Formats: sequence, C-alpha cells, structure tokens
Amino acid sequence: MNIKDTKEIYDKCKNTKNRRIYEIILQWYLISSGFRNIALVCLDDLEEIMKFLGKNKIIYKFFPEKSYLILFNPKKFNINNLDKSFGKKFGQQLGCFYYCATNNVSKNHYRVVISVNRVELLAQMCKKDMIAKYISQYYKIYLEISEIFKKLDKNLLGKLETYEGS
Amino acid sequence: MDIKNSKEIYNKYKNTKNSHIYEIILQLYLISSGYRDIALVYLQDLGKSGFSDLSKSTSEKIIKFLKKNNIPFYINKSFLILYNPNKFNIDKLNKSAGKKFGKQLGYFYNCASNDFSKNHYRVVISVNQVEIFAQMCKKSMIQKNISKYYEMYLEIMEIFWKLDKNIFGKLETYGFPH
Repeated sequence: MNIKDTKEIYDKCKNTKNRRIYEIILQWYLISSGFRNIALVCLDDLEEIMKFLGKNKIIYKFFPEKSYLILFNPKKFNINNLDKSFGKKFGQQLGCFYYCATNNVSKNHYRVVISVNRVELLAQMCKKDMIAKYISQYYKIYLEISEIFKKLDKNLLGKLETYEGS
Repeated sequence: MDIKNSKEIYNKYKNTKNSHIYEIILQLYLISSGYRDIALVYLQDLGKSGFSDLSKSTSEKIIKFLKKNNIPFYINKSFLILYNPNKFNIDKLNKSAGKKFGKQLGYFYNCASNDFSKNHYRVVISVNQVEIFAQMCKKSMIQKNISKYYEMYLEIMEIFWKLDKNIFGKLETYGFPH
C-alpha cells in the first residue's frame, strides 16, 4: 500500500457511477496518506465492490451481519483487535474524530459530518453540548482533510456540517 | 410587525413553491422574534447584479407579496433587505455591501470586509435549505469563531422549532477549490 498506487486508483476510478466505490477510493486515499488507519464503509452492492477491492489490492474485512466494510492499514492497525460489538471501543479505534462514540447512541440527537464531494468520510451522532465542546477540533480536522485531498484533486469539495438528526 | 403576525404569514405561505417567498417568511420570523433587526435575503437565483437580475414577473411577485403582508423592506439594485423599523433606521443602511454593511447585518458577519478576494471559505446557517446566515471568510476566522457560529445555530433552531417542529437546520462550512 502506498499513496502513489492510491492516486492511480483514484485517477482511474474517479468517474465511477458507483457511489460506494467512490467512497472506498476516498477512504482508501485517507488511509494511504496516513491520516487514518481504519475506516468504515456501509455496503449494499457486494458483488461489484468485492471485485473492485480484489482487483485494486485494497485491504479490507467485511462483516456481513452488519454490512460493514472495514478498510485498514495492516501496518498500523491489527484487524484482530477490532471491537466487533461496533460500540464505544470501535468508535475510538476509528480515530480522534469520534469523540461521541458510545455504547448507547439513543441520547445523541445531533450529527456532525465531514464529507468530500458529498461522500461522508467521517460522521457520527453526538449530544449538542459535545459538538459545542469539540467544534473547533472538528473544524481543524476538516481543514487537515481538505489539505490532504487538495493534493489528490484540487476540484474536490470538502464540507463540515452539523445538524439535528434524530 | 409582531411575532403573531409573522407566524400567521408563515402558516399561510409555508407550502409555497416560490423559494423567494419561502426565504422571506423565514427571515421575517427571525426578525419578529427579535433575534435580528435586519436581514439580507439571499434570493437563490440572483446573479452578479442581485435583485435587478430577477425577471420582472418574479420581482413583481415578491414586491406584491411584501406589500400585501405589510412587511417592511428596502431594495436597491443589488439586494433585498427586510428590517424591523423600530430597531433599525433604514436611512442609515450602508449601500456599499462592504464591511460596514456586514456589521449592520449583525454579529454573525464578523468576516465582513471591503476586500473579499482573500475570503475563500464559506460558513452558512441554513433552515430547510434556505441560507439564513451566510458569509465568506478566511479559514483562520472560521477557526476562531466556529464555536460562536455553532452557538448561533443552536439558538436559531430553538427559535424556529417554536414556529414549526419539522424545520430542519444546518450549520455548514466549506472551501472553494482554487
């Protein structure tokens, strides 16, 4: 896995009409750039995606019971240590954005999202006071991600957004 | 202008298909609630020349609506302003659309400048996809003020949920690709 290969995958597949494949190449780029070691993608169209992953040597583990696809950097994240309850610990494994990770999301009514070209790359439900506490940090993460993606394609549009979404 | 009237106007027109009128009734409600004294209406299909770019029939419809509902407004060639005449003297409006004008619009507009060429990031509070507050900023200014914008977003939503629990609001910020 290196960033040059990921850029080639992006250039080759950036016009795909399959939104999941587009999401995978953006997440994979973020992993190859070193920004994150692990990413979650929710899957619906398995066959085409598995073919794409195999063809491009993208490292993943699929959890069919949840339809969760995990992309990861095997040098930085031991997939055997993944929290398979997909609760608080899993959120913490996903990285520093996920401050609101909890085993009980029923009180988290607000959503905070960092997206690139309308693909949600980092997203979570929070309490509004938690967003108020961390909003500066989210903005900083948004700027870092935007800088990383500018190196891939200057036309990518990144966005930080938050809204009530219960 | 009182909040009861603006609620009545909202309930009467909330299903309008005219996006300009929808935007006006939301801004009017925010003014009557006392949250702001003056609002610049971001009519969505305005071109570089603003209000004067609208077709004659569109601008006539808007003006007819404003007059019919006794909504205080001011138009120059670039923009439509709604205001509370008890709180804002429209004769003192800065017509340059620059820094002073931004300050008159309220404390959200802390990136108001006479030179927008270095403001490449946008921050927006929208309600049902209508931009209620929006401005261009430097990213460092957004970084400095993002907590304040979020606080404003929460305040605004509390106000709008008193009007209609189904209203959807969002705070968003993004840069424009160079």
